Amino acid sequence: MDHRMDRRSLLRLAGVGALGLTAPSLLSACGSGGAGGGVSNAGKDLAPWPTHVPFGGPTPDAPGDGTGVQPLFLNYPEKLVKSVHGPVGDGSDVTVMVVSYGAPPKPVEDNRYWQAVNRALGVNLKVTVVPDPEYGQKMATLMASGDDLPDMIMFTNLALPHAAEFVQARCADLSEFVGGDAVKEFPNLANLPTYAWKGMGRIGGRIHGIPLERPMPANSLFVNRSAMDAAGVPRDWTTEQYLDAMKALTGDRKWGVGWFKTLFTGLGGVTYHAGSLGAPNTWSVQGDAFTHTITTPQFEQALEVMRKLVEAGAHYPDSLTASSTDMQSHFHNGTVASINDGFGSVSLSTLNKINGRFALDLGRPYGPQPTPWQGPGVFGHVTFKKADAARIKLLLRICDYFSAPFGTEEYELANYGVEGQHFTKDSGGIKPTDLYAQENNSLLPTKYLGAAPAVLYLPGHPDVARAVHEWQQATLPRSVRNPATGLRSSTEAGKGAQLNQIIGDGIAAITFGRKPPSAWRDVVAQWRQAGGDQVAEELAREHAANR
Amino acid sequence: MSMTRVRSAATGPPGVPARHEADRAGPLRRLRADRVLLLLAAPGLVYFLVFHYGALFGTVLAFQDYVPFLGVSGSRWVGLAHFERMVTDPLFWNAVKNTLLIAALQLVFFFPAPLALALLLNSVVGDTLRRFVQSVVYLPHFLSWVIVVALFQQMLGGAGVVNGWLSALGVGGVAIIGNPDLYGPLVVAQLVWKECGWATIIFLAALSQVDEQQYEAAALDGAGWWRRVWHVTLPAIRPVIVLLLVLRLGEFLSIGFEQFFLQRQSVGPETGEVLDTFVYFTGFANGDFGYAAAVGLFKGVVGVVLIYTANKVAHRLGEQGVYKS
Amino acid sequence: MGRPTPAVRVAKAVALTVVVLLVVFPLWTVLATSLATPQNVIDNGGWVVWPDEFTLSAYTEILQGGIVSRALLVSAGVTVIGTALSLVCTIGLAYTLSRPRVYGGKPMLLLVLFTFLFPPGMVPLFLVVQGTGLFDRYAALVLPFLVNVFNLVVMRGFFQSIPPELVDAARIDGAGELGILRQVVLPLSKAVIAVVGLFYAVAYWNRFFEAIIYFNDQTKWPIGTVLRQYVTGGASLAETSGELATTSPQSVQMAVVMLATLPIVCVYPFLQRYFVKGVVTGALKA
Repeated sequence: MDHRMDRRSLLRLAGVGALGLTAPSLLSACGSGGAGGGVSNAGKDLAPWPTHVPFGGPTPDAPGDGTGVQPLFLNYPEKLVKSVHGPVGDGSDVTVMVVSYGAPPKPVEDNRYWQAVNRALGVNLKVTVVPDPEYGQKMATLMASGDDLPDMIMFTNLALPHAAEFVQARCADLSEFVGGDAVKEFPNLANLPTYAWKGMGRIGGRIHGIPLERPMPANSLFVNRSAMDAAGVPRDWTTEQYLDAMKALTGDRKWGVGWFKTLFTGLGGVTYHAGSLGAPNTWSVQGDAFTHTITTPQFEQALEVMRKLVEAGAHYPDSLTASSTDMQSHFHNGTVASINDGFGSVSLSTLNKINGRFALDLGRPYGPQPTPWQGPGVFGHVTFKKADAARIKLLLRICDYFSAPFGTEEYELANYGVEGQHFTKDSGGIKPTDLYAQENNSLLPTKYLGAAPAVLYLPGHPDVARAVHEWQQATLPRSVRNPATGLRSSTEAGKGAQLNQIIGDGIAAITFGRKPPSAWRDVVAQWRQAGGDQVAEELAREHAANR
Repeated sequence: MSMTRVRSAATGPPGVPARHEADRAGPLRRLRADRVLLLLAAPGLVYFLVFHYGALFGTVLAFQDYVPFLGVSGSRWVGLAHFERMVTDPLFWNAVKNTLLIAALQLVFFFPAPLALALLLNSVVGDTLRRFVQSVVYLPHFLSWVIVVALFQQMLGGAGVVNGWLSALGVGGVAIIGNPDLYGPLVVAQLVWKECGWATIIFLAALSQVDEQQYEAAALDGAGWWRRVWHVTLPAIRPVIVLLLVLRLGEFLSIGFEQFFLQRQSVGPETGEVLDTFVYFTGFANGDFGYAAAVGLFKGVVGVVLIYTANKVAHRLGEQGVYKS
Repeated sequence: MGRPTPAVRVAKAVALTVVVLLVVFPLWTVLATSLATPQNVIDNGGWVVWPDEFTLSAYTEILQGGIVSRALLVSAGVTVIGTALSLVCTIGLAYTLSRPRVYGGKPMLLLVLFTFLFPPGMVPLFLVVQGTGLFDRYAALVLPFLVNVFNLVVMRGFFQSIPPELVDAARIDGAGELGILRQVVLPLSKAVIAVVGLFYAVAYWNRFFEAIIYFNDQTKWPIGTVLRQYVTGGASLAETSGELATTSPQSVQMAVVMLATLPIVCVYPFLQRYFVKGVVTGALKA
C-alpha cells in the first residue's frame, strides 16, 4: 500500500503552531463538563433497538431460556440449514482490522480457510490483525491517522478513551439499516438477542455497531469436582462449607484456591464472592441514583471471605505474581482445586488440557441470597467506515454471514472451516484436523467480524456439557445484570483503567493482609475522589435518558 | 605510556596547526574547511531533525487535553493543568520516592557489577574459557522480562524451588517474592541477572584497548593483580566509566517499565509503583497522552539537570564527560 | 602477565563457576521446557527441569506454515541493512563530533544530546512516520531508529581516546579528514565498532512493537513481532473478558525464546575476535 503524505497529516505536522494557537479560545470555552457530551444518550432521540426475530434452527437437547441459559446440544445437527441467500459481496476489496490473541494468520495464498471465506463472501478480505497487548496503542494511532480507515473496525470491550467520540465522528451510523424492523433484511443479525445490542449500547442515541454476542455468565469459579467429591464437599454450599472445603483441599503442595495476577487489576478476583454474598453487580441503581458495589456491606463480607482464605493459607502462595496461563496449568494438573476464569474457558481446549484427570464443574454461589454477576453479554462490536448505503449494506451482509447461528452452513464454514480439509465429521460430531490448528477463525480472527449466539456444545464431553447446563439453570435465574452496561460515561471511558486499578490494589492489600479490613474505607474514598462519584453521576443521567 | 596518551586525549585536543588557522578565519572559510566533516555528519543530523525534532511537537501535548482523532490542532489547551495535577498528587510523589529508591539501588549495585565481571573475564587467561563464559552470560539479555520474572518466581516464589527445598528440610519458608521490604533488592537482583553480562561488552571493548605493555611494566615492578587493576586498568578505562555514568544519570528516573509493570501488584502500589507504571495507569492506559507527555517532560528536565551537574563534576575531576563546556 | 597467586586463581575460578551456574540453570529450564510434551508441562505446573520425553513438537508447531521463515527473512534483511546504515551514520556523526573545534560542533552535540533526554512520544512519532510516507514500508523499521544517542556518544568517546600523535602523524603524511578516518581511526576502533554494531543489530533484531504500529500488513512483520504473538497470545484481555484465547502451551513459548536467542548466539563468535586484547598495541606496532 502506498501511503503518501496526505494534506491532512502535512497540515498537522506543519501547522502545530499556526492552527494550534488559535484553537484554545474556541475550545476551552466549552468548559470542563463538555467532553463526552456529544456521545451521551441523555436528551437525544433514541434509535429503536433492532427487532429480535429468533432463528428456527435445529432442536436442542435441552432448551435455553431468557435468563441466559444456553441451548444444550449433545450432538452436531445432521442437517444444516442455509441462512444466507443471495450474494454477499461484489468482488471488491474489504479491509478489516481485528484484535488477535494468537499467531499471525498464514497469508491468503497459502490459507485455504481464508480462501474459502473469500469465496463464500464474494469479496477479497484484507485483514489487519492487532495483537491484544498492543491493541490500545494501535487503536490510538489509528484514531490519530486521519481518514485512512479500514472498512470494518472491530472494538473490544476494553474502554478506549475517546473511542465513542471517534466512532461517532468517523464511523457510519447504522440506525437506519438495523434499527427496528430494518434489521429483518439481515436475518442473522435479527437473531442476535436484544441484550447483546444493549450491552454494546448507543452513542448519542444512535446505533453505530454490530455486537459480538457472548454467553451471560461473568467470570466464574471453575472447580475440580473429583477432588471436591473425594473431600466430601457438597455441590450447594454455605460460606462456612466453602471456606472449610478450601482448607480441606489444601496441603501437600496442593491448594484450594488458585488466583492469578490480573484478577487484581479490578473486580475479577472478587466477582464470585461478591455474587455469592449478594453484592450488586458493579453498580446498583435506585430510581436514577447509582451506587457502586464497593460501598456495600455485602462487598466487605466478600473481602472478608477472601482474607480468611489467605489467613488459612488455602491460596496458591504466588497468586499475585502468577500469570493466568500458569495458574490454568496448576488447575489442569490438580495443583489447585479451583480457579476464577472467564466463562469462555468452558471449552474443548480446556477439557483437552485436563485430559481426563478429573471432572470439570462450575462452583455454585455459596451465600444465602446470592446475586451471581452477569457479564456484559458482548465481547465487543464491529463498526464501519462511513460509506454510501450500498457499501454499508454489503458490509452488513458480511457481519450477517459471520453471525449465522449454530446449525447453519454458514456457521460451519465460519467456525470450523471446510469439511475434509479443516475438519471431518463422525458420530461424535466435528473432529478438527491438523490443518485446523494452522488455519482457523482465531488465527484469522473472522470470529470478531460477527458472532452467532453461543450454544453449549462440547463434542465428546456430553457429561460436562450437561453439568454446565445444570449449573446455568441453577445460577442464572438469580443472576443480576450490571445496570451500567451499555451506558456512556466519559469519566469511565477516560479513567476506567485507573479506577479499576484502585479497586484491584485495595482488594489485594486487604486480602493479602498488607492493610487491615478497616482500610477499605480509604480505598473507597480514594476511588470516589479519583472520579468514581463523577462516573455515578454520569451514569445516572444516562440511565434517566435511556429509560 | 599509553595510559598518559589516553588521558591526554581525554583532557586536551590534539594540537593541529591547520586547525588553528581555520579558527581565526570567518564562518564561511571555516564552513569550507570543515565541509568533509560536515558532510560526514549530515545523514545522522538529518535523522535527528526529522525523527526527533519532527516529532518534538509531541511535547506540546503536555499542555493539552490531547485527543488522538482531533489532533494537536483540534485538542483543548489546558496550560499547566497536567503539571499541577502531577505535583499535587500524593501518588505521583509516592511513585517518585519508589523510583528514586530503586534508581539509587541500581546505581550502587547494578552499575559496578558489569565492570567487576568484565575485569574478572579480562583476567582469565584461557581464550576458550573466556569466550565460553562470555557467551553464557550474554544470554539472559535476550529473555524478555516476562520470562525473567517467571523464572525468578519459579526459583524464589512461595511455591518455588527454594521454598520447596526448605519445606522438605522442615525449615519454614522464606517470603521473598511479594515481600515489600525485599522488593528493591529483588528487582535489582533481577536486573543484574538479566543485564550484567550484556553490559560487560562496552567495558571489555574498552579493556581491549588498554596497552598490554602497561601490564607488563607493572608486573615487572612486582605489582599484584589487584594493584595492576587499580593502577593500570581502571585509570585507563576511566573515561569510558565516567561517560557511561553520566549517561546513566541522565536517565536516572528511567529504571524500566515492563519489569515493574509485571510485579507491581505483588507488593502493591505503596512499594511497587514507579514513575513509568504510574504514567501508564494514570495516563497512558486512559489514553491521557497529555499527562504522559507532562511526566515525560518532567523526567527530561530532571535528566538535563543531572547530566549538566554530573558533567560539571566530571570536568572538575579532569574528565571529558559527555560534552565539553 | 605475571602468574596470579593460587588463592587468587581459586577465587576467580569459584566466582566464574558461580556466575555461569546462576545463568545456566534457569536457562536450562527454558530449554528443557521447550523440549517437553504439553502434558509433561502441565503435570509439572508450567516448568520442566528434565523432560519425561524429548520432543521437537513445539518447534515444528512454530515453524510450520511458513510464517516464521518469512519473518526470519524480513528480520535478517532489516537487521543487515539497518545495522550497516546505522553504523555509517553513527561513525560519520561521531567522528565529526569527536574532532576538536569543528564548525558548529558544540551546537550539533547538544542538539543530539537533547533528544536523549526527550525521546519522542508514540503518537507524534507515528505521525512523522505516516507523514514521511514510511507507513507499511520496511523502511519504517529502520529509518526512525537510525542513530542511537547512547551508541553515538560511546563511539565518540572511543574516537576521542585515540592518541592524537597518530592523527598528527597521518596529517603530516598529507592525509585529509577522510584519510585519517579510514587509515587511523577506523582500524583502531574495531572493538567499539563491533560493540556498537552488535548493539544495533540486536536492537533491530528484537524490535517488535513498531511493526504493529507502522504496518497494517502483517505479512511484513519481522520475527520479533511474530514470535511475541506466540508468547503473549491470549494474555491480558482474554482473562477478564472470558474470551477463549488460542493460548500457547508453555513449551511453545520457551521454544520461541530459544529461536529468538539462537541467531545471536550464532553470530556472536564472529564478532568476538574484536574483543581480544591488544588491538591498539598491534596497530601501533604495525
